[in-house]
Amino acid sequence: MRRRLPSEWSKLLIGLPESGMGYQRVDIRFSDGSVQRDCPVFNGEELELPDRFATKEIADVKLHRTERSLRT
Amino acid sequence: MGYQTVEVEIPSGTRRGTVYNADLLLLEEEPRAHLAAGVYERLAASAGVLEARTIRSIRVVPRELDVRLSATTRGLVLTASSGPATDGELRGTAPGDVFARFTAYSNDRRITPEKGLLPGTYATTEEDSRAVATGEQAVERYALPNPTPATYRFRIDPTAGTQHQAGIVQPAYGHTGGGVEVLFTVGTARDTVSGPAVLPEA
Repeated sequence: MRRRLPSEWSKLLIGLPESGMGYQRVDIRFSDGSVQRDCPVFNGEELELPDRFATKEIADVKLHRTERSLRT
Repeated sequence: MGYQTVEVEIPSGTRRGTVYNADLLLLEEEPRAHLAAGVYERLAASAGVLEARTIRSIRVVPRELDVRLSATTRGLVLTASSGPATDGELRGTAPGDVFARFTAYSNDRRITPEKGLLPGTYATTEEDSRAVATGEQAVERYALPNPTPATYRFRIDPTAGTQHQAGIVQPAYGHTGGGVEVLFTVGTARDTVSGPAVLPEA
């Protein structure tokens, strides 16, 4: 499902590099402690998530770090 | 990593495709709509369709040949990484270099109000962008996870010496990639972005 990010997270992502043209790969931590890794965010504002995370409150957003990016 | 580019012979002729995890083949013309989320589980959902095909032979396309066939900008390939842009050498743009950026959003948030690109923004070369006539072709060529056709094409005319890395888009999200990708590591100066031109969806 597609979910619009609260503006605080959009502002954060706009200051971070893209993962490819028009998107960023992020790890999401929810307020209940669960984590969903490697989710695409489009245009810094639209997050693609599995349906089961539809109503969970987002506690933190970080760029997803691949093995490749960790080397650099 | 985790894929092979192949040519397969099927009753209707020879087709190129990508094999994921050595057990799932997607041909280049395979419908992408049901692969929207771009995860392997979704790829597997198409396996039933693929099993109906009769494959007479299959061969792996050597990586060097794959890169040569997929990149249209010969000059850039000589200086670009055959891997993703993040592996490419950091260089400055030459005077007159022109780039393009495809997006599904007319309000592209990577473009500043002063008409520059933010640091860490991706684009492609203007020459590579000529291979793309529709928004769906942009999604395929640049392996975009957003299935919405990238119908907006912005033009970038960076000042000479603008830092960037270049490479080849790797297969991802059920797409073959193969286009040239350029990462503007520190963005571009003001008044370097124009557009967008609007492409047909398909």
